[in-house]
Amino acid sequence: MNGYGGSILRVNLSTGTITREPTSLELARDFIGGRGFGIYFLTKEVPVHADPLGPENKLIISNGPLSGMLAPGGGKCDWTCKSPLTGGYADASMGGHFTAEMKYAGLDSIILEGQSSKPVYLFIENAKAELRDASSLWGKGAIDTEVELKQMHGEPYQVAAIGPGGENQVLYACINHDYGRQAGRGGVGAVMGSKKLKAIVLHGTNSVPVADPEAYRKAGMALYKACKAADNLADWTRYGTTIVVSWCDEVGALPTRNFSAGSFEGGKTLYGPVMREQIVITDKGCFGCPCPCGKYSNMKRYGTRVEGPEYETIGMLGSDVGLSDIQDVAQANLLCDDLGIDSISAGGCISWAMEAYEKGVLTKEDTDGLDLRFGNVEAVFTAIKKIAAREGKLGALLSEGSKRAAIKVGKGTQDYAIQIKGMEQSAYAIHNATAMLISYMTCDVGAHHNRAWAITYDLQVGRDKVVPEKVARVIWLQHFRPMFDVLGGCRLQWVELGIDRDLYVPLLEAITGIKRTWEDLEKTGERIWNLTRLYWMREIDGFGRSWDQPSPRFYTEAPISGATAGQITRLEDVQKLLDMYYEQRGWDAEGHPTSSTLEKLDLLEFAI
Amino acid sequence: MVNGEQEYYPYPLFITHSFFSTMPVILRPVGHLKSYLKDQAELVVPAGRSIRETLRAAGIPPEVVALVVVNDVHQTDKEMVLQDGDVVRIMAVIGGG
Repeated sequence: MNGYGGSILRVNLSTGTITREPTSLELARDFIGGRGFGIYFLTKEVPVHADPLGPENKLIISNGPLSGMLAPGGGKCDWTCKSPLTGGYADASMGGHFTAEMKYAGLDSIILEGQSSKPVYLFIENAKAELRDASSLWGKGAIDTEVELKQMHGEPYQVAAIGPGGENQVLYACINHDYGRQAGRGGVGAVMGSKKLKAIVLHGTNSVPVADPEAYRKAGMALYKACKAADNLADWTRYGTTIVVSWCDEVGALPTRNFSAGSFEGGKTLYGPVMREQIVITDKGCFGCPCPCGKYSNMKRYGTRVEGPEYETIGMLGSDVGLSDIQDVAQANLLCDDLGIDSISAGGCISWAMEAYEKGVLTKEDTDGLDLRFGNVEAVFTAIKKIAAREGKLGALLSEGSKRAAIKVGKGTQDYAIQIKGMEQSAYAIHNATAMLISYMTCDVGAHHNRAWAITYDLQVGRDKVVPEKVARVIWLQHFRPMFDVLGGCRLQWVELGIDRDLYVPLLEAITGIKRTWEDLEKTGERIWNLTRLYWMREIDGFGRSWDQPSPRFYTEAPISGATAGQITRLEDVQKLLDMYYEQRGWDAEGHPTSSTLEKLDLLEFAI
Repeated sequence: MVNGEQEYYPYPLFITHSFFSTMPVILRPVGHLKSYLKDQAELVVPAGRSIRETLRAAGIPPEVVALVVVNDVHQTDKEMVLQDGDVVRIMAVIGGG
């Protein structure tokens, strides 16, 4: 099967049974790989209303035809499950080197099901796969676990591990790999922890068949050459995603003190060049990457090192909690990575609690004595540790995510829990940025930016405009960008280096032997988008329009300072955007795909 | 901007140099921003204006420019006045990670 490992590994943690089955040609044709495989298996195999942290939920790891191949950024795999954080669909993309080894071991997907009674890790080496005792690793940090497993098995073995946050089933626990890459969002680490699976160790040495080796070599090299020729390659490599911090501060997109503003008075010390000068010691990339965006940093004050922080973490564990020292932010980043919790959600939960504390809704009795003011660095560190351990009142409260925490606390705190569908919003403030607003509202995992990012587009078109063109742009991005998560590649080469996306077409054809244009790929993207929507409808009674609403902060409270001072999106415009979105998608007023839409997309078999 | 046209024209450097009594500023967009200059590699502009004014005059909305590098030094203040001989590299963010 050209471009694929050729098999699916099924691991039942309850019984210890491990089986391999051939990857279906029809599955590869219709869903291609990555999150396409993930939503297919999730829909077909996980029972309706399964407990996300119970044995019925499955954690599905899938790569795609670009993974491990001669393709820039072919180091991505996708982790899919029912989310314990949101109760709906979750997938998290992870970079590094895991996915290449996975494919070289002959695997397109690993399906983890059931629950082990004792801690184990999964060892895979080509055709060999077995569960091994992990009792001695349980309780250890994700980075320490990776170090130990690499020492045990050897450097070529790739490791993905959870930390205490995953073991304790913090609802936004993540999975760590390569000392600083994560499958971060939606609680995939909690699902892994619920299965008592501490880590996966894998190594593969098989070759991957391709349809046309010479065309493959040419098309792959053409992509690399385009990346190397990009005139912004040096800037992107130098700064990575931190390049946007100063700009976000300037245009009011930098989340500040629980998204109450979009510009931070202490922001300058978080800017990319400052970070580069003060703490970065080298660049770090994923498999086959010509533009390594990872920055490896040395925090002299703490005597520690971390991969990061990247933009999201600077936003959520920097300005959003009121920290302005890049070393402090990097240390908070390290704590989250090693303890195994998503730094975006952790920042969102802590900043929510800080606002509630400053408003007097939460007191020291609720925070276990912690002075949880914005800018208190020790409070941030302690809160992260408490969350990962589910320790004390504060840890117990925040480990459930800001939506549940706000429901429990009440007293108006729901109005400033910055989340959609239960997922904390990633690090772009959207006061008066309507394309980005509708992007967050409709993202199929919750308030995450990776599906469609449109702030520059907002600025180009007019940030307050509520027009069909904006909605159409977001829908197109939602079909196009996540295709990289289907293909098993990284979107940054197209997104930021601006290489011609058509260069991928001959490469994909040379690898798989199947000719697909971007129009074809976007159709697959639309099918997947509708399928994830159906999954939400299947799992959550009454799922619909009310689940697509943003935090009231963005339509009730204009920032009092910064670039967006006094600016706000009116609630009627929020609803107008949603109406336009549903109409353009062929969904009804509740946001449910109509039968004719499902028929058009050949998805009637999945109809609710 | 005059009638929607760029105030400065992307003449080749050897021609425009002779129009100025002092060394001009060279504005060099990279990546997606080149589309604002119809894919010209660079633009020669007069010194003495702020980065923001210079961008506006070139038909590039200042707010979409995420990175400004003046003589290889990152510059976050768009009010900075450009000097004779400055080389300014500018870049936008399209994807946001």
